[in-house]
Amino acid sequence: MKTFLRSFLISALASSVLAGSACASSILVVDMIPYSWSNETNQDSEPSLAVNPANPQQMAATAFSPDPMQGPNAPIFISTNGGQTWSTNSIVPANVYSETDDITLRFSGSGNRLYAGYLRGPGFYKLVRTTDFTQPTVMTLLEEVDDIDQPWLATTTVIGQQDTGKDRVYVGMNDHDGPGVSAGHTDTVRRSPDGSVAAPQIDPLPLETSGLSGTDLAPVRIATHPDGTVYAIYISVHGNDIDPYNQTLNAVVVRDNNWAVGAKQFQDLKTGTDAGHIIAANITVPVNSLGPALGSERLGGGGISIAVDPNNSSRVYAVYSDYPGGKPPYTLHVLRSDNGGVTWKPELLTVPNIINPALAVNSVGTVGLLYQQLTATNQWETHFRRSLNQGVGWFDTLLATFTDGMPALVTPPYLGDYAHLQAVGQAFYGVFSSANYPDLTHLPSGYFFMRKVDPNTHTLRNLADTSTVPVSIDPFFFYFSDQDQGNDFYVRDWTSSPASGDNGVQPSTNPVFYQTSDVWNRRSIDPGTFPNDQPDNEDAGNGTTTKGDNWAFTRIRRNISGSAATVTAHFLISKFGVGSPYVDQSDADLSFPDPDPTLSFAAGEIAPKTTVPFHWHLNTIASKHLCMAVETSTPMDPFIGKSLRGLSPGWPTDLIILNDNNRAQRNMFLTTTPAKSQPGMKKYYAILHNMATFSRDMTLQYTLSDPKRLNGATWRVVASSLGPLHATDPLRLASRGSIVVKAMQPEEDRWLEIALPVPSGTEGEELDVQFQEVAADQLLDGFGVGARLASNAKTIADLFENHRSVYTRLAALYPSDYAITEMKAPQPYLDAGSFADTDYLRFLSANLKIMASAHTLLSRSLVNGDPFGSKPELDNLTALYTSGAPVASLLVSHATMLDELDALLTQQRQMKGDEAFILQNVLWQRDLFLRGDQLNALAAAGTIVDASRTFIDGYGNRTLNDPDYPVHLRTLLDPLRQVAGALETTLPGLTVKEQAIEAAMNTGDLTALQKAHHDFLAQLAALDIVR
Amino acid sequence: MLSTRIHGALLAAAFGLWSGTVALAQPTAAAVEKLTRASQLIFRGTVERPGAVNLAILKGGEDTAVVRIDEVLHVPGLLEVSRGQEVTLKLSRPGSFKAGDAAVFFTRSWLYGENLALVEVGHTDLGAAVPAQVVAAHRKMAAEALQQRLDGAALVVAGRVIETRPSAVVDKLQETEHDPMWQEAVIAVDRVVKGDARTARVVVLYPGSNDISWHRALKPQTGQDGVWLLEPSPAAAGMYIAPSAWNLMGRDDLAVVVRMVKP
Repeated sequence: MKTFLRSFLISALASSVLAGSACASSILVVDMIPYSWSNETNQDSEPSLAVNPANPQQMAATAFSPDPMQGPNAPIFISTNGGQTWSTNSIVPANVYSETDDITLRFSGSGNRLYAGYLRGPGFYKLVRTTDFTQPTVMTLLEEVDDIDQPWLATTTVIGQQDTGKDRVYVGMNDHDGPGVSAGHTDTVRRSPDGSVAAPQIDPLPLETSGLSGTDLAPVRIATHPDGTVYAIYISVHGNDIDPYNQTLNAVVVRDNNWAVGAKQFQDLKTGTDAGHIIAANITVPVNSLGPALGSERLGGGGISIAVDPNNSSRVYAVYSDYPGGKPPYTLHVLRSDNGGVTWKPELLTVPNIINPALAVNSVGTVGLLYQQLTATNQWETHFRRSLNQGVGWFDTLLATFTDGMPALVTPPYLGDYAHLQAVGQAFYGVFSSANYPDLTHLPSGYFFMRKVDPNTHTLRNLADTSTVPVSIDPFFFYFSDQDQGNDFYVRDWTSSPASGDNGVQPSTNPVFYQTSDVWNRRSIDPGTFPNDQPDNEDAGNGTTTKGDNWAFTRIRRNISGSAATVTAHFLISKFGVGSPYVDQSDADLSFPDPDPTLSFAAGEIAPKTTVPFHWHLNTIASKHLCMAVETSTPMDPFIGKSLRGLSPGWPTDLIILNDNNRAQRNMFLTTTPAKSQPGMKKYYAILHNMATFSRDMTLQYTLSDPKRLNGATWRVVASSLGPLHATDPLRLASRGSIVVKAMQPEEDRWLEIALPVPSGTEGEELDVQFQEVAADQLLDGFGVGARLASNAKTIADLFENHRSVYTRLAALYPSDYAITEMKAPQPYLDAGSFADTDYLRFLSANLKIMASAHTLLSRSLVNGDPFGSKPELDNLTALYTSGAPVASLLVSHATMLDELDALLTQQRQMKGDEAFILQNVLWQRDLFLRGDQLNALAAAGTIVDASRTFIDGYGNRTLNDPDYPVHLRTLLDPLRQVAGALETTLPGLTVKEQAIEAAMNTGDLTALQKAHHDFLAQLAALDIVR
Repeated sequence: MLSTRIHGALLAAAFGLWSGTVALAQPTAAAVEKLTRASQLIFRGTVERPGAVNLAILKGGEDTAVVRIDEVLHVPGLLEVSRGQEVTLKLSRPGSFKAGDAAVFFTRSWLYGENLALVEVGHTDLGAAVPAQVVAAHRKMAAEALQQRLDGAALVVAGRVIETRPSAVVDKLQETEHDPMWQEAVIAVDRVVKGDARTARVVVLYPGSNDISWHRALKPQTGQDGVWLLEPSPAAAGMYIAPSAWNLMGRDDLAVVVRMVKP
């Protein structure tokens, strides 16, 4: 930072007090007028702020600020360092005065697109967009409409659902020529199903359906949830347009469950037959700009806001403002609904003499409320309040204060008809307008001025430092986080070297966040060493007793000292690949006998600490190719949202690992191969699981670590869990690129085969391919496969263990003497440490025929054969051995055969169902009946959706577990029977599938129940497409 | 036959204009006017650090340079720009300058941060006539703007406001904070420069609201005198509007207006 940027106190202990207890917080307040514009004296009121949710370092803001050089475009304020410093960039097509009227900004959820909805002049609305807000290119016009007031923008990008990648754009407004005008209503949302395309479709959607007419008040506010729930709040007016005191005003909340893209929009919350729920009836709102004022500020009928809990789309907060009993003071009221707006808890907070309320809810459910209040002593105070308990109690932080009229009003609005508050992760970001006195009297939470100030006299100075600049109204950015670093414990997603690693920033910055993370497995209670400051992960072992014993570890740290704390670590496991849901409950594959480990940090202790060994056991039938995750928590630093259990990063909505530094995962599959170049290819297999509740294409980007030595690498999809699949010919992998796996069905597993050459290299070297799932330009998840080059002896040792592991699975799943023999065969070598070439050749000599016999027996039990080709590879291994091929070649062939056999065993099991998919079944069930038009119309739909939501919430909160799944389905027996009966003609055989659910329920076999439920849902999906 | 590139270079040299590389000859007035019309900030400057930037938000490259302002030739608005100030220039042609190169830079705004970043529209050499040519170009642009307003006016009169009153003919919009609160100003006309020569009284609709949407609009006051450039009101037949402050000129400008109004 340049020295001329006079910095005062930026980060402080906020004056946040509730019931006498103090709370350490981080706060930053910044006057946004840039240094090069230090002589600015404009009344920069009515600010708006957009924080890029995909990169919170990027921000854009607006106020009523003209272009300093009177150009044709109005400026936006921009920051690329989290709001610490600001510049302006004039890229919004402006009116003749180089400014705009009402304007709001928002970023897309991913893809870095910035939208602005604004009035270029009175009523002349425009929607514009840019893909790089730092460049001088003027924003692209998407639409323009006349007779509009107060456009208020909300945007997000669909992730994890149908239409993934599309920007949902909503602009609330008072449209005097809108679709509701014929019925006497004006409040409207102009909605685009995808604002990212060149010429977006945009439709005006009326909010009110009642038969009463009246010109609604101007403000409309919107809140979106990643699951597709969209709320809006507005003030409906019924009565005489000319006489504001002869009207009935109601504060109304409307809701749409499906992005407002279905057949009817904003009609999923109803009062009788009318859309919406009246949260406050017959209120008095000062609406006439000729009428009442609050100090120098007019009262333009604003005073509403709405926000939805990102972890619970049914929990929504709303603010309306009125004259209680028809008389001043103008008072805000905060309400909360826990059931999607059906009922409300009123008066959680009331504050008199306020303007510009703005609500937001952060990732841990903390509610933030920004407002400005005129006090009895004529002071304009800007407050940021927050509640950690759903609005019951509120902390209060005073951000700014100044005397009304100092500076004098230039033009209404004095401070604005709105301010803005946004939550990204655990942080709150806000913008407000206030007087720009550079001192702690007026900015008591600390401040930072971009523009030139004299720190001694606390005055504003011009750029040449030759004169004092008069005080005016400036836009102020603020950042607030309860998550002070002293209490922010995190698990590293990556470490490059002792000097370079994840510092806890959210979202995580390294796309390879699953290879060197601080969660790892060991085969003993020893956490191992940390070469290059990276944990030394060991492949899991499967089997009975000690052979299946594993221990999980995680390393936890914080950046600065804080209070003493105990961190709890919770470990989860999923199948190797991308998309497979995590499990944390004992089942047929694995068990978790230990309680969650805890780690105590003394006050002031920051150094990384490793948890005690967490024992988990991998059973005989399970593959050792796994992914491991951890989520940590303290009372002051819980992990974000619900548990990862039953879910996968990016699906159904959340980037869950990247966005939360309390979480980390490891997803890497390395096979030890000889460090000598060999002919042939080593093959690897990864599961691609479709965690979505609809059919979709899965896109994977890949990168070869060494394109030259891995030249010739190929990929193809060889198998599916849903039945026979025509495998394509292998396709070459370039040095980097992307592959698309088409039309994956919900819950489908497909096996990706990656064949890599076996080049020479140095022992210990790793040659790999990184695959990353992307959707909507957003990295969701990833995994890596490759070779760890080693001596023959080390390769033989690892291969013997792998041989034991795979044949243990075979012996457990398809018992035979041959399989049992092979399971036991490597043990003497492992026990004796006999890993010489001669030992290995002796092993092959004794076992190749037995292996062949085991395969022959297995082939009789296979459903749809062996798409992985393990038997041909065994034949190849036998031929190589017979021909006297080098041991290194035999090892490559042998390792490939084992991985093929392992994948085959997994595929055969997956065709019978999987307990791990229980939550996905219920998510799928909810979405089918919520978003499928035909299913949603059935009488039983509401019951099924409500029950599904209850199970989903309970499962995520860990209050419901796998054994509760049959209970859930049992409560739905009648509704499911009704559905089957109603649709049997359309979907022949549906009744049989429903009966199969009942039959499976009675067996107590959760895997069979999951499969039967899946088959029922799959047939329903043929009827309705889930959007 | 000359190559296209050389041919273009010679043409540019002939005009003294180069948008994207060092100018080769004394620029013509026409060339300077063309650049001036596309520019906001015009200055004589010296390239200090090619490839560099002086705003943290930017990354340097072939298309950037830090340039020292040696003389400001034109700066619009109230922006404070002074001699010796260093600015970042986004070059219209990457790599076109080396340290020490001096030129007259025609620029438009980009970023206002800890320093200014500007987009180069073009540049010329340091011809002594350039400052005067820039002034002349702006004078010409101002005259054109006035001519355009006069051409667009249905009625141009000299007169004095004798009454203001709330408008009875235009509906109010109670539920918008941008309610214009239409008012009427009655002007007693003493000379008609353009329009119906019989006009003695004219009613001008104007927004009484001081809201952000209207605060820069012309708000006639009783007794206010001048030359009024009026357009027909789209909302009320027989009435006029004067949308901006530029629609009222001083009586001292009457002679100029009379001269410029086309018959």
